[in-house]
Amino acid sequence: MLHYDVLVVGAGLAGLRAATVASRSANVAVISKVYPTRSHSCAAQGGINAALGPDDSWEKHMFDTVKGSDYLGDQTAIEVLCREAPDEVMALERMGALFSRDSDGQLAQRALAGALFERTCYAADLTGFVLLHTLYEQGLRHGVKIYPEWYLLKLIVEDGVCQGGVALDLQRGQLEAIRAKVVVLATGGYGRIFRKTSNSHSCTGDGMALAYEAGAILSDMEFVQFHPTTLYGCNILISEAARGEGGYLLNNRGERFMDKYASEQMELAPRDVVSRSIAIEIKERRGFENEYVHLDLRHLGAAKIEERLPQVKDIAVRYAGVDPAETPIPVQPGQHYSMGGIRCDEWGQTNIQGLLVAGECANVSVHGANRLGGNSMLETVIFGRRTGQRAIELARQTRWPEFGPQPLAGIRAYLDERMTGQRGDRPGVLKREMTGLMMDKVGVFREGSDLAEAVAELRKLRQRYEAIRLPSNGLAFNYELVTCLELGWMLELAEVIAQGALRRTESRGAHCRLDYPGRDDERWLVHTYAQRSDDGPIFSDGPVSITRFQPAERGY
Amino acid sequence: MMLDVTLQVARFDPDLDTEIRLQDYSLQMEERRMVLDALLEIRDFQDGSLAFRYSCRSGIGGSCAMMINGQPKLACQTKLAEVGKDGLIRLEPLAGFRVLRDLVVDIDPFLESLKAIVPWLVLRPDYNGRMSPEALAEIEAVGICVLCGVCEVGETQSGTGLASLAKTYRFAFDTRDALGPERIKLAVDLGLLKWPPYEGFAAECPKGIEFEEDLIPALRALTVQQE
Repeated sequence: MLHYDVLVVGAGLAGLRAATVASRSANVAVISKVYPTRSHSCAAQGGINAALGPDDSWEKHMFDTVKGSDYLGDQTAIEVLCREAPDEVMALERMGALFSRDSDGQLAQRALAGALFERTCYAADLTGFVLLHTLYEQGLRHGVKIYPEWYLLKLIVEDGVCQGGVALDLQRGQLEAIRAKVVVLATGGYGRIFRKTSNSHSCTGDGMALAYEAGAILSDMEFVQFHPTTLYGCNILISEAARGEGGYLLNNRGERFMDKYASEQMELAPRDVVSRSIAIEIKERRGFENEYVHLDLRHLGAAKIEERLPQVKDIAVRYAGVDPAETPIPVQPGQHYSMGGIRCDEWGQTNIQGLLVAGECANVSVHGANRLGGNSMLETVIFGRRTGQRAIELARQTRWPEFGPQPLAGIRAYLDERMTGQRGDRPGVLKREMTGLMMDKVGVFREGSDLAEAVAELRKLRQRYEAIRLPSNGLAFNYELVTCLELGWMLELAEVIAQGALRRTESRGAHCRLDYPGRDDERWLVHTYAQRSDDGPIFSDGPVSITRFQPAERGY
Repeated sequence: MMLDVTLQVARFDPDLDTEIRLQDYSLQMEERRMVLDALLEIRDFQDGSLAFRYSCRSGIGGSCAMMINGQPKLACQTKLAEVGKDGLIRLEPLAGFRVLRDLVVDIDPFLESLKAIVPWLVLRPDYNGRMSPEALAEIEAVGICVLCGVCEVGETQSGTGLASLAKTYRFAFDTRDALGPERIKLAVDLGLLKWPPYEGFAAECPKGIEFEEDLIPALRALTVQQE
């Protein structure tokens, strides 16, 4: 059995930031189901927000974020995010991040959606890639211990205190218990629950579901971000930077249709607004092939596209056979981000002692009902760092507990029972049904009857899932087993998302109910809390922190 | 357009096999789909035991490097139609790497080797926070190495050191870096500055880093200057 002061799960931006901080004065290990530089953070493109300009301020950043969140974001947390952003971005730069520069040699900034300023620092359209590799390098520099391709199967929680976890070492095919005084979950989102998603195959919500299973509160799970511009066909992300640099959205009549929906901010209205607008255009037969609209970059010229949007160009050419300097890019909304997650405070602390969370898997909540572009990477590094700091303090205060019985036996029995020879559905079949169901009935537009059907269908899928048996192919690199476990976690979360969406009878941010089109602050200016029971999620309301900005109408 | 393809995939179970065997899988897929899509289709609907690495499916994570019809490539950005003209696509683990299972290879020695070149920025004490766009442009394109291992393939043994060389370049020409040219001496000492890394080397960087055209000449020019 392994012992560490701090066990970090996930090696994306949040996990690596937490680990590099915590490893300065604690014994830290990172486990990750993929090698660190494969983490989904590498696919983030547009940039990271910080109020650096002389006319900008953290208060303005905070206001844009609060308004963007449709007033559901917690203002105490958003204040932390925006106040600490400039120092954090400068720290990343000094670690080596290759940010794009202006002619003066300072960090260049561009405008992303929902912001009134050019506030987003960027590395062309490869910002997540650049930051992830920078933090990976820092991990090497500080000698952070990393266990790649270790897949967390369970959190060990005894008497309400988290004491570590059990992981499957995919390379050796071994189960390992890791005892820790503090566990930091930084396991990202669950995008693969939806058929159309920009997310990597690895984004299956494992950490959220494991925490939920262990008794943690999931919050605001019904708020799912659909990015307006994912590439038609494969849904790879086409960065918001494409519109930030001046790209237009056009329907099949060649109209810049955003003037109907957001006449001031046009294409740079927040993502929830733009995604709905595109969906309406397609629904009302002003799209192409009833599937997509055009993102037109031709007027930017080949040179600017090459300099500012090299990855967008590469992706469009490679995956759609379209050179954006010559031809508009076919785009459609696709799942992109989870505003909801494991409920925590500004130091990553959950309702389970010893369990901290950071990044997309967490809900602190800085994004409320809709996240602004450039704020997710910011969240990962700021709250990753704070969680790392808190982990050090907690580890210092905590004594090694008396350990209960070995936790491996139960898990081994569960896996053995699963692998008694192919029976029932293949995980891939159920996954296809689940992702289609969630896309159709819990997507950009929602309705009570659809949501109720989705809840019922998910229950049936759950039953079929329980009946799945796999061939006994051992544990080493058994990706069929891993995808099966991932499917189980996704089904668990899908139920919370669908039920939460059914329960919230209003429209706010990314949650749009056709049968309840208005925002209802009187009833629903609250967080949705969900805790697991054997009969499904038990819901309650949580308070929203409102400090500086009172809820107001949200127009763009 | 649908395409009939047969994937001939290398299988290797260290507990049972002494050498790689090839297994055929036939399926129909849209022409525009990638090799990785076909592998996932097989894993999900034909043979769950097939092992291969994957994640981002957009050429930025670097998980899915493998030999595709004899050439090292990323499966997620290689079109079925490109390689499967006769309908047959051969998939093998990255050449020269130790095979762990099927298409999965041991990349730890490769990642470990990077540590020798001090793969992080050593900030100059007099750095004033500025870097010109021109100075950035010098290193930006090389900074795109995704550590996929494609350029590390060898006939019998992996480890050309080209990824280390790319990292060396990226930091040596970084105007913020305190080591700067010292890094090139280190690269020479480590024997990284040779081209081609071996006779018959034909790997192409999936991210377009030009070793022969750009990197090697620039680094060699600097070595000459130093002498």
